[in-house]
Amino acid sequence: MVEKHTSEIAFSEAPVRVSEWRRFRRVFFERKLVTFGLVILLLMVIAAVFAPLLVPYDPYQPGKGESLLQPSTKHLLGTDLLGRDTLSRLIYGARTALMVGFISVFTSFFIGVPLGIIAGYFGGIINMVIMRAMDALMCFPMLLLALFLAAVLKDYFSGIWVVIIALSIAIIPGYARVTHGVTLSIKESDVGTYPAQCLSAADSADDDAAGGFNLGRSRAQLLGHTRRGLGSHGLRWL
Amino acid sequence: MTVYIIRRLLIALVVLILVTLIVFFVMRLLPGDPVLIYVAQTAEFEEMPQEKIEELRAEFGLDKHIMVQYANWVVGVFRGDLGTSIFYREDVGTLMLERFPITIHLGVLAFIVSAVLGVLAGMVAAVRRGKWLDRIVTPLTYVGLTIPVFLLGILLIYAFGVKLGWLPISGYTSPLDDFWLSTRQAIMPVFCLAIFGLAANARQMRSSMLEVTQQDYIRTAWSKGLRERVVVMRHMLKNSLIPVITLMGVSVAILFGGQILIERVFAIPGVGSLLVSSIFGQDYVVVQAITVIIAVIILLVNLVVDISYAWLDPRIRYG
Repeated sequence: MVEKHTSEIAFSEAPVRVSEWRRFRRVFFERKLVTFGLVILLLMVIAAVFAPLLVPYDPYQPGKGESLLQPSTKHLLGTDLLGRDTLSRLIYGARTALMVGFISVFTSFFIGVPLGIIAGYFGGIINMVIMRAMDALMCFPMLLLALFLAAVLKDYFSGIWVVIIALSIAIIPGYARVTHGVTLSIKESDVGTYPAQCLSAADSADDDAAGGFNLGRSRAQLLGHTRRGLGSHGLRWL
Repeated sequence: MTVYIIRRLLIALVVLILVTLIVFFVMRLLPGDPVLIYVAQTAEFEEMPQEKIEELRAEFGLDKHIMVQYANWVVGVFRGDLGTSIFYREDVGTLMLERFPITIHLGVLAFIVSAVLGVLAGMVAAVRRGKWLDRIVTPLTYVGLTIPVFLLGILLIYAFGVKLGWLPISGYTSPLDDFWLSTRQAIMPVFCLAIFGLAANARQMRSSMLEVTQQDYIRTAWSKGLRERVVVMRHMLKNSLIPVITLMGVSVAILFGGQILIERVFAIPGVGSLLVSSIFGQDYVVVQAITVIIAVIILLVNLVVDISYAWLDPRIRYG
């Protein structure tokens, strides 16, 4: 009896957050390829942030008589048709590329994934409306969407933000659909059905607060499991 | 199930009408005038009198009220008449029949390649996790995900077309005319189109399969003494396919996007290049027709994907 009591306390008071983070760190850095990728990404971010300090030349300044040079000590990666330094242009390009990639992927992730979970979890009319809206968005040619947004938003945003917004909107349906599919399958698995039973039991026996807690918990679990399904889907858009 | 499919088809029709509405009005809201673009590209712009331009406008029905234009177009579409292209001066239906088989041919091949090879690679990597096969396959999927399609196309053309001379560098031939030449021409574009989906499917399959491997029913299957082949093929495969199938459905839409680049690189007269030139040429009816046809395909694919959920996991039901 006493033992059971302690184990319960240990369970409920276990610092879940820390152990989860530790587990993540272990799994993450155990893989050399992943660590290697992270280092490259960090280098790119550093290069992008400190671009003005790092570049040997002005990336926009055409060099006279230096068109299409081979790589040399003067121009490490050579020059382009207008005689601009390729390395400097690459470093400045990393700024745009990273910004567009990260912002649009994260924006659409945080819109698309909740939409997919809501649609899959509640089903019925909510599911129909959300998922058919995603269908409509998917059918729409991306180029046309981008041009339209550029025409509509040109007075409010600069070019790069139009690109980010267009990309974000265009990749929402992908996230929503994959999440929706995984949510459906998890909802029917033990993890999905068990908290739902907890919920009904709590509702009938006790107060609403417990029910609310359980519902929140079941959703958190759904998200946790859905997340795994999405892991590999996420970063590919970068 | 039949009720569900019928209901979904009816809703798909509503979605389709929504898409036609958006495309129609978006095209007309974009700055630019198709008749002026057409005139500027064909005749001497300065010499064309205003009446002649108005005449052209009337010929394509562009002088009517925008709602009347929309109604005319939609009624035409449901009758099978897609209208007349402003730029090509040709029946859009004929134009679609010329272009779509090319895109569909390459797209279907790429889809099959990415689906079959992707699922196989993901399965192998998951079953042999951490072994040498996994160590080769998984890093390769990173390459597949990150390499830009057009760059891959150019590299392939340089290696296999120019240097080795094994494959024709560009163009398209119908397999009905010359099957051998058509296949040889299709290899590089199909590979370029498939590589992204292949890698994505493989990664999704691998992670999804690893998830399934830890389930209780897989342990049960093993402890029943079933052979590896049976456990993997019968118990793991179907259960890990749900996110992969969804991804395949999404990848159909991505395929159409990829075709735009690939058709440029390999000089293939498909729908992708037509769509781009028509968008920039403001050729309303062509853009609308392409969008509607692609929309029908994507809606059907999504429906098939949603139905397949219930087949893959019988616990999922539709009301």
